Amino acid sequence: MGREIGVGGMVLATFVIGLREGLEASLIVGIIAAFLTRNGDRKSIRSMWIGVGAAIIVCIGVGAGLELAGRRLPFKQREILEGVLTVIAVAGVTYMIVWMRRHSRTLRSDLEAKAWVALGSRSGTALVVMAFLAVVREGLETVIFLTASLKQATSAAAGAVGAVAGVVVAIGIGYAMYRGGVKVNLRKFFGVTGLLLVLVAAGLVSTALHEFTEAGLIGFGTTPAVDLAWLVRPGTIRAALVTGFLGIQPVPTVLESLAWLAFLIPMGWYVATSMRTRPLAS
Amino acid sequence: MMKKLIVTAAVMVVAACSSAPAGEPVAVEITDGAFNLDATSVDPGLITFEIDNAGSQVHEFEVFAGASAGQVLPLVDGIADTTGLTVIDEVEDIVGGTSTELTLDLAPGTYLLICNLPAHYAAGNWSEFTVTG
Repeated sequence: MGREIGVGGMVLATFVIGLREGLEASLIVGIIAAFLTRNGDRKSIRSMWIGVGAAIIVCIGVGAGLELAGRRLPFKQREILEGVLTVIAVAGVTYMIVWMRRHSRTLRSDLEAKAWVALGSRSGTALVVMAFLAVVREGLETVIFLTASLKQATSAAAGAVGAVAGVVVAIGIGYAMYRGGVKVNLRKFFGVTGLLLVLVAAGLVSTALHEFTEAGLIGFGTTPAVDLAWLVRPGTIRAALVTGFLGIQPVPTVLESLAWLAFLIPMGWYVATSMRTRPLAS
Repeated sequence: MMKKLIVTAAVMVVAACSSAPAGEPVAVEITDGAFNLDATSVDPGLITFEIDNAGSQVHEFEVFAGASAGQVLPLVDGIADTTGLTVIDEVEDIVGGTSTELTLDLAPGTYLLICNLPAHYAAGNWSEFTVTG
């Protein structure tokens, strides 16, 4: 074996997959961590890390359990589960966007605003749950992919090295988001993360529809709508970044594309207007 | 040349008609441009596809029900429009040089095995598969 693909090719291929799977969760956790840190909510930050740790353990446990039992989750149930988790993620991210939009209005000083309305304990808990779910959703697939590549007799090392490196780079990007999110002024933080979260949530909306379509629950709008293969060429690092961050498929269907726009346009407008109507700093 | 073509065609027809009894795994070799099956027709029941990506690209292995014999799907934006077919299961992200397995309980019918990554269907990454009944 080893055949047409060399060790380098295999490392790159699994790296791209690890990166793609890890990105979205890292991004969401990074933003939530920055959000809670800026809010001074230490208790929730600790809970968040416990939640993230628990999510990783759940993923490894379920992944290893399925592997040992030689089982896979049935396809339809798997897609429905992922679809439902994705819908919850959309709700969570939308909630964050609305919260930030509302509270950005109450900021008096634009550039140096430090004090902001503390999150209620229930909102803090919601964010902790969101971080947990973000990691569970992407982590399970990652663990299953990792165990599958580790099983390859001839290429386990190359495959695993690539995949782990991809996940590590994804976590690094999430950490950079967190650092940046903690450093910039609050107005910029609200604006940039707001727009970023709108893009992420729009991607989640089309991902959820994608899962439900595959589960056979949706039978319309399944015709391919637009060819983005030039942008999202499978197997490339750029594709990993675009699909990982933004949830954009190489060839989205009519329904996925329309839903993406239907979320992105009003929500993008909603966030952008809050940035524009803010009083100018003197 | 002509003779060679006829022989090749005959071999393909024989290969296409080869049937495996229930319980025998079906070997699927994926290359960058073909799905080569050691049996394209089996008895109903639990069927294990032993999938081997011998190509250099990442491929996926999707099983669709509801296909008809000889059906050619329309290409839209570089991928096959599978509207009207039902996904039974899939394995994504099969890296070149690796192999995997998929076991399914298939009822009699015509199935489409396909990698529908952009341009892969047009390149030949698919096969019809029949479960006799």
